[in-house]
Amino acid sequence: MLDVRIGPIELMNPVISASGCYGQALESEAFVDAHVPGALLLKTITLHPRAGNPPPRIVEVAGGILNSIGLPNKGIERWLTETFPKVRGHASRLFLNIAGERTDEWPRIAARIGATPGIDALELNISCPNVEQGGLPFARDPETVARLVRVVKNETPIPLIVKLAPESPDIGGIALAAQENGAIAVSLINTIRAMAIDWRSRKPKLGYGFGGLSGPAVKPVALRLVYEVARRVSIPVIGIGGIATADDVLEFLVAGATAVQVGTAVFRDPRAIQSIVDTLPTLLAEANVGHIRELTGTLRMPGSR
Amino acid sequence: MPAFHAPVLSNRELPPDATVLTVAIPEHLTLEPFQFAMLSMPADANFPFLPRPFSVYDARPGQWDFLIKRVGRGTGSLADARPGESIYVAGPVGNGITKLPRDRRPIGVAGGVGIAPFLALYREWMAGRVDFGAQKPLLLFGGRTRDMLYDLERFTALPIEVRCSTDDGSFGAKGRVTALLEHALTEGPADVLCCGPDPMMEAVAAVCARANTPCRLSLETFMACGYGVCNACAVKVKDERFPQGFRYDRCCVDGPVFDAATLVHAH
Repeated sequence: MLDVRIGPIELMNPVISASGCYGQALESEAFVDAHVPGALLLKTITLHPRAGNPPPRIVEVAGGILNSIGLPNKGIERWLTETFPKVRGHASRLFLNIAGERTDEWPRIAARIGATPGIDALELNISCPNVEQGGLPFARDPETVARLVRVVKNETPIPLIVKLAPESPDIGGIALAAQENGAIAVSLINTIRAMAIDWRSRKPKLGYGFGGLSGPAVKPVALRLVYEVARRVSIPVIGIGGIATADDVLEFLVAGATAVQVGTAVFRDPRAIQSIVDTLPTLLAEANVGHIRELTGTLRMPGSR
Repeated sequence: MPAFHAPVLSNRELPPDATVLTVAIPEHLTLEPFQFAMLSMPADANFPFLPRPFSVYDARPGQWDFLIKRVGRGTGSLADARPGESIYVAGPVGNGITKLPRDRRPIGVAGGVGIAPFLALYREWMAGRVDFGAQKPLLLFGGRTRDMLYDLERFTALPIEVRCSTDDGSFGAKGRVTALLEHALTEGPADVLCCGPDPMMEAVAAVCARANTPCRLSLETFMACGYGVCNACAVKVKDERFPQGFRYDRCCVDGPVFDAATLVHAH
C-alpha cells in the first residue's frame, strides 16, 4: 500500500532521505536499516574535493535550523572508488546528489558517473544556497536549467531528478524546463536562503554569513510550492521541507507530491524515517485510503472546480 | 550507537549553575571515557530544535550521569529535568580513551564543566579497564571561582593527586590552571589530556608544545546530529594535502579527542 513510482523507478515507499542529512548512509545505519527508506539519497558530490565552509555551520532558529555546511565532499573520483563500493547494493534504491561548481563541471561529473550500475537516479543540486558561484543562479532561469539537464543527459543514461530552489521567480517554468528536457522528476524545496545575526557583535551567527533555513519552519512554504509546481508538470514531484512525521508526508502527497524527502528531522531524531515508514500504513487505514498513491494531488482547494 | 528515551532517576543540583542528571540506560551499553551522548527534552518540539552533546560523567551498569551547566535554553531544559520525566539520549559516540602511555605521568587538565569526562576516566582506570601504567594520575582542575570547581569532592576522594586553581584565589592556587601545568611539567615526563573552554585548551596546547609534551584536547563544537552525517561540527586539522593547509574533521565521530599538535588553533 506504500509503493510509488518515480518515472521508471519503483520505490517500496515514498520516503527518501534528503541529501546532506544522511551523510553517505553508513553513519545512519546504526539507527535505521538502509533498506527502510524507499530510496537513500546521498550527500552532494562535486567534481573536485571540497573542504566545506568555515564553522559555525549550523545555528538553531525557531522551528528549525540554518546551515552553511558548504558541500564538503571528496570529489566524484574518490567517491566512486572509496565510498560507493561500501554503499552499493546496501539500499532499496540508491540516489546520488551531484553539483557543478561551474557550468562546465556538470557534464564532466555526469560523464565520470556514466552508466555506473547501482546508482538508480541522479539528483541535480542546482539550488544549494551555500556555494559561491554555485547552483543558485542555475535554478533561477528556465533556459539555463533546460541546457543543464540536456548536457547532463548527454553524458549519462541514469535518470535525472532536478532539485529546485524556493526563491526562483518562476519555479513552475523551471520545473517545466526540467520536464521537457528529460528529467524524470523534480524535487523541492531546497533550503531557503536566510540569516541569523548576533546584534551585539554585529556579526552573522554562521561562519559563511548566510545559510539555508530548514526544518518545520519551512513546511508551509514548501507545501505551497509543491502544490503550484505539481499543477504545472506531469512528471512526479518529490516534496521536501520540514517533514518530520507521517502526517507531514501525507500533507505533501495531498498537495501534489508523489514521494517526499526527510532531512533535518533526522538530526533531531535519527530514527525519524523508520518511525514515519512504520506509521504510514496506520494513518492510511484509519482514513480508509487503500493505497498511498490515491492521495497524490487530491487537495480540495476552495473555489476550484 | 543506540538512541532511546532515558528515564531520569535523580537530579543533584551543584549550585549555582549546574546539576548532575542520572538517567537509566539499557544495561548492555558500555562506555569508553571521553565518549559523549546527544541529549534533548522530547517535549521541546521546536526550540531547542537540536539535541546537545554532553560527556558521560559517570557510567554504571544501567545508569549514566551527565554534568550539565545551565548556559541557555537547551542546557536549561535538561538541567530542569526531574525524576518521572525522560530525556532523549543518543550515544555513546566519539573516540574514547582506552589507554594512555605507561612511561609518562598522566596529567588531566580540566576547566570548569570540562571536568566531566575525567570522572569516568579515573573510574575506568580504577576498574582496570583503562591502562595508565603505574604512575599516580595528576588532575589539574581550574575554575573562575570555587563554585566552578564542579563536584570537586568526588575527585579528591579518588586515589589520584588533585591540584586546583581559581582565577579569584577563592580555592587552591590563584591564577590560571596553565601555571599549575607549567610547574607539573617540570616534575617529569607527562602525557596531557585536557578538556575546558577553548581559550584554556589553546593555552594548554601551547604550554605542552613548548615543553615537548604530548597533549590531547577534548573539543566541543555546536553539533546538529552527533553521529557523523551533518558535517556541522567542523574542526580544522592540519593537512598539507589541501591547498589551504588544513581539512575539516567532524568533532563528533572523528573526535571529540584530538592530538593538539594536529589542530589549527584559532589564535
